[in-house]
Amino acid sequence: MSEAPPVYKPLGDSGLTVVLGEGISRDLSNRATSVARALTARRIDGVNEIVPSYASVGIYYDSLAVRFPDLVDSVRAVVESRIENTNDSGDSRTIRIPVRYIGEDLREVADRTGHTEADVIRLHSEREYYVYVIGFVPGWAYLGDIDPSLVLPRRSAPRKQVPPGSVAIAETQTGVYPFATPGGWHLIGRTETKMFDAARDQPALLRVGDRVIFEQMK
Amino acid sequence: MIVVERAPPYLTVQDRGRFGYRASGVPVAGAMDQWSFAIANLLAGNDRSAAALEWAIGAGSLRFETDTRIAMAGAAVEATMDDVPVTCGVPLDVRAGQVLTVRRLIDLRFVYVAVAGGLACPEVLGSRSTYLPASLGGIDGRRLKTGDRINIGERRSGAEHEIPPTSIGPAFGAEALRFVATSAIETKHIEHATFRVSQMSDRMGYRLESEGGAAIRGASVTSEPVCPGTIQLPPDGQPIVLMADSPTIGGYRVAGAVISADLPILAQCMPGRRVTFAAVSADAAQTELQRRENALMR
Repeated sequence: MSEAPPVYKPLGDSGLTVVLGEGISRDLSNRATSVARALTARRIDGVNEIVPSYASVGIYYDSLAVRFPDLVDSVRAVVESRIENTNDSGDSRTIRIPVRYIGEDLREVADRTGHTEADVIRLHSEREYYVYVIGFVPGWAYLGDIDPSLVLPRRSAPRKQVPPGSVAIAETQTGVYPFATPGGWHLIGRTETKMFDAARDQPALLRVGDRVIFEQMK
Repeated sequence: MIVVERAPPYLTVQDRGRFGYRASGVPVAGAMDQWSFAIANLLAGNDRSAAALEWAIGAGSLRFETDTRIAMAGAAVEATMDDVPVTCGVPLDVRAGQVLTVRRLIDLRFVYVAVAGGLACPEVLGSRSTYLPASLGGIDGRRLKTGDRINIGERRSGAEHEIPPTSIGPAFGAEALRFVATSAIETKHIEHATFRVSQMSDRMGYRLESEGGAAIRGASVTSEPVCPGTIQLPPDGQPIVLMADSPTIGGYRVAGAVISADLPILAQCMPGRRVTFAAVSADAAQTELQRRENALMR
């Protein structure tokens, strides 16, 4: 399979984005996490943080410690040595999240997708999801892909405040709101699991590349 | 100890920011105007990064329960210490029991109040910065309210910092913001338009309303990493510049990012202020930042 060469783009004067491709796929995500891991292991001078996204990797650096063109050279060397070897899956974990399917939109989702509520619950809880990206707010994980028959656009009017712990779906993805924030996804359940806890060494429960299973609590 | 005698509508604890947790989705946060924040600290006799108060919008007052030294920087203020008028940009020696009252901020959005020793609320993930959406930092991760009491840290001993002249700092009031371009096509559009800062602006991002030039129609894209300063182009044609509480990733087309040295200028823009953009290289942006930082560290 032919792949476009990576693109190196400045993100102001403290960031560098390596774009590995376009769109959302497990293949691209695997490459992004693999590149992020390789860059982390390489410990490039002046680099503080490395953040994988769907098809790109963000590299944040100390602008006073390393010049941008030198950083691009160092990063390019790591990325290019890595491209041939993208099969390492790292230390991916499977995390189980207990859910009570009592979300405010469960009935509406069932109606709009032509399922019963029990079917929606079954379809949502019988799959294993993949963590594509962490972001939006601390600890929020974009998980995919949901059953194609559950795909709905976002709500036309976002809620001003979604209860924390809400399990939600939109388009091809699912996720859990860690905090009371505005939100436009369809709420189908609720969990007590803390998606983010500043007291933990790794404050976000999930990492990019993890697998997630939602378990129905009766 | 500082007591918030009458809280202004918006008062939070901020510092240089929270670094190292973006992979967990944690924004950097920290002072919106890092330059004025640093100056306030240096004037108070602190290291430039000590936690200080970020004050916006309205009137309020603080009572100091110990003898100390404070300083304000950023927006000019109409303020008194007890009944004596005081100003920004100078160290103020305070006796226990005195009350600082700020009646009005003039022209700019934020004033920073630094106290010798810094604010000593607990660090959360390595920073005291308040990040409201996840209730991190400061006091319980929230805006300060009347009656709050804030501990002060140990006063630093040793040589006083030299205060850099205003001429080295950001050109507050300037219209042109320098940015590092990400893509050539959007750069042209951005450079040929003028904008006004919208009312829809907060610590997460400032909306800009296009004033002249061709409408810049952006797009939703696969989310990519972003940072404070990132200029996003949503489909509605009104750009967003992400600020201190910027999310870690964003799903709009990116035109580039305002350079660190100029971000304080935008942070301090009141709604309605006019801004334009001028592209510079990442290298030039770094040189400019280096010059600033050297001035702060002398």
